[in-house]
Amino acid sequence: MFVLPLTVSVFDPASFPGNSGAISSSKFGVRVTVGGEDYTDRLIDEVQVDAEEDAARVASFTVVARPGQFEPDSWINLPVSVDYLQDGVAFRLFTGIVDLPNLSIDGKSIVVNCTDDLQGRFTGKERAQIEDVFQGSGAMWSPALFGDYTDSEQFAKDLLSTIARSADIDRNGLLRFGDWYSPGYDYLFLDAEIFPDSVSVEWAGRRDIVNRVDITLEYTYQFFRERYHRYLWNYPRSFPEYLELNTSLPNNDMIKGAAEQTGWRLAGPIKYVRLPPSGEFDLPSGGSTQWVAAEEVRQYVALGADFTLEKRWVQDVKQTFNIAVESPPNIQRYDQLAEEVQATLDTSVEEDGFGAFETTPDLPEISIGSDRAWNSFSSLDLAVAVDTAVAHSKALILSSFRQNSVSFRTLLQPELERYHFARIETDSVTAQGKCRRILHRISVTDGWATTEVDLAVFRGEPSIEGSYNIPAMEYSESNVSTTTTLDTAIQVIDGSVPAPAEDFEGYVGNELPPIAVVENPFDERFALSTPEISEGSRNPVESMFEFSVLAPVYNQDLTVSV
Amino acid sequence: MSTSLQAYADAALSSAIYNPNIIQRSDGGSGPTDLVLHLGSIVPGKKIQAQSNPGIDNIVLSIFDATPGDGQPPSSIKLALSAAGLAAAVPGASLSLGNEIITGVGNAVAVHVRVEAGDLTSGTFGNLSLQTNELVETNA
Repeated sequence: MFVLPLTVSVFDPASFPGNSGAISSSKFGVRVTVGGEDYTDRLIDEVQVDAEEDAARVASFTVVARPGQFEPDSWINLPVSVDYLQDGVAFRLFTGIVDLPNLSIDGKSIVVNCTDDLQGRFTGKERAQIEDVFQGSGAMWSPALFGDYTDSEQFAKDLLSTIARSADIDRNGLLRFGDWYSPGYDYLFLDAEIFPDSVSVEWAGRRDIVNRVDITLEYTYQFFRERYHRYLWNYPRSFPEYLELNTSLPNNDMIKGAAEQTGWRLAGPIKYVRLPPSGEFDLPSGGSTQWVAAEEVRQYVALGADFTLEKRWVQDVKQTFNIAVESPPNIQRYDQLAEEVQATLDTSVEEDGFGAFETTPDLPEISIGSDRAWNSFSSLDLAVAVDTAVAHSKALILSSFRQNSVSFRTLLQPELERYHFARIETDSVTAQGKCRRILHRISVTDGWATTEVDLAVFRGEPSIEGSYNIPAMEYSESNVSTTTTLDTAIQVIDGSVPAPAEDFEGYVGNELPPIAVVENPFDERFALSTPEISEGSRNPVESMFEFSVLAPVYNQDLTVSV
Repeated sequence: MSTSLQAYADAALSSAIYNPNIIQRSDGGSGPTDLVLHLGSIVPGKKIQAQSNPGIDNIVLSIFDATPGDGQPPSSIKLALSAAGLAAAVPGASLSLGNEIITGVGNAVAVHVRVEAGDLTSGTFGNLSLQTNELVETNA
C-alpha cells in the first residue's frame, strides 16, 4: 500500500505580519527532521532558511551531536524538513536534502547545510523531461539563439532566459514559476510590522538599464534548382525535295554527341524523325523515283530530332533580419541603452548527388521563373528563432528594469514564497514588488524569529507589449526561354552560302549531287549550346528585413520620504 | 505489501515528497491550493499492480481520514489525472490510476491534487492522507 500523509495548516492571517498591520504576541517554535528523525530537541543557535530567485533554497541549522561516532557521508542526501510552529499551527519552511554536514570544532555539534536541490531538477535529465517541466511556462528555445543542444542544465537556463518569470521550488519541493510582475500584491507591511531601521532601498543605476535590444538573425537555406531546355530540329525540305536535291544529313552520333557535350543531361531519349521506308516517291519537278534504304541506315540518319536537356544546381539564400526590440518611452526617458543579440539559423540540407541527378531533396517544391525548384526554407524554424530571440530580448529589457531593491525585516512570515508580491508602507518608504529573496531566521538560543524580505521593484516608464509579423521574402525571377528551334545551314553546289556564324546552332551540311563536287564545303557538324544560367540565378540570394517590436516595461511604487 | 511506489515532485522522479504541507487562511482567503504529484518508482523493470487481482483490478488512490468527524474532512481534497480534471472532480472521491504502473522514469502517473480546507479552525491537521489499495510489485 502506498501512503502519503498530508498536513493541512489553517492559520489566522491577522496573527502574522503583512496582513493587518497589528501583530499580537505569540508562542512559536521550530521543528527539524533529518531522515525522518526529529532533531528539534537537539537544535542550538540559529535555524536559517534562505530562498533567493532562481537559486536553490538552502537551510542551515546546528544540532548537538549524539554521543558516538559521526559519519558525515551517512547524512548526505537525507531528506530534511524545517517547520515553523506558531500558535499550534505548523508551516513548512523547507523541504530538501542534506548537502553538507560539518562537525564543529568542539566536536559536539553538527552544522547541517541543506538544499532543495533546484539544480538537480535540471541536471542529467532527458531533454523531454526539461520540456515537460517548462510546459505552459511560455518559455521558448531555438538553436539559432542558443546553439546546439548541449545538456539539460544549460537547456533549462536557456528556456528560463526567455520568460519574465523565476523558477523556484516551493516549501513542499514543487517547482513553481513566479511572474516578475503583478499589478497587485499579496501582503501589505505597515510601519508597525517592520523592524525600525531595517528598511533599505537600492536603486538600479542607468548602466543597469537596457531599453533596446538589437537582434541580428542571419538565416541561411538553399534553393535546389532544376532547369529544362528543349531542342527541336527538322530538315528544312520535304523528303521528295531531299530525294531530288540530295544533301548530307545528321546521324544519331552527331546529335547525341552535341547534346552530351553541353554539360547538361539528356532528359529522356532523343526522338528522331527517320527517313521513310523504301518505296516510290513523286518528285517536285515531276516524275517519280524509287527510294531504297537499308533499315540500319534509316535508324542512324535523322530528318528531325526532338530532345530536352536538364541542369541542376544549388543556390544559397541568406536572409538577414534586423529586429529592434525596444521600449520607446524608456528610450525617450533615458536615451538609447542598447544591447545586441546575435542569432544564426541554418536549415541547409545535404547537397551531395543533387547536381548529378542521383538524389532529389525531400523538400517542398516551388517554381522560380520557369525553373522547378525545392527549397530548404523552414517557416516554422524561422518563426521559432525569431520568437525565441524576441522573447529573450524582452526578458532582458524587463530584467534590467527590476534591479531596484527594497529590503526590510519583519517578524517571521511563514506563508511568504518567492512568487508572492508584497507592498510596504512606512513613514519613509512606500514600495511594491515581487519577493526576490526571503530569509527566515529562527534563534533557538535567544528566542526570536524574523523574516528578511528583498523585493524586486520595477522602475521604468510603463510601455506595452507589441505584436509583430515576420516579413516573408518573395523571391522571383523572369521566365527564360525554354525551347530552341535549331537551324540548318547547307552549302550548295556553287559554294554561295556564307559560312555559319560561330554561335550557329543546328545542323551544318552540304548538298551531295551525284557527280559534281560542292564548292567551299562546310565541315559537317551538329552544334548546339545551352542557354547560359545567369549570375542572378546562380549567385547567393541575399535579402534584409528590418522591423521593430515593442517591449513591455512596468513601473511599481518606490518612493522615499526624507 | 510494501512496494517501491513513491510520490515525487517531478516527472523525472528526482525529488521525493514525503508529507506535503498545505497552508490555508482561516478567513478562506487562500482559496484552493493545487499540487502535482508524480507517482512512480525509480526501481527499473518492475510493475506495480493491485494485490486483489493483479493486472485486472485498478490501482485506486483514495483519501483516507484517520479521525472521521474530527479534523479536515476528506471533501477538502479533489483528485484528478489532469489540471483540467480538477474542476469536475468530486470532492473526497478516489481516483483510478489504471491497472498497473510500470516502474522507471517516464512511466510515473501525474496526480493533480486540489486542497481547500473544509474546516477553517486554526490548527495543524494531519488526519488526511492519500492511500492506494494493497499493491504488489513484480518483474515487468
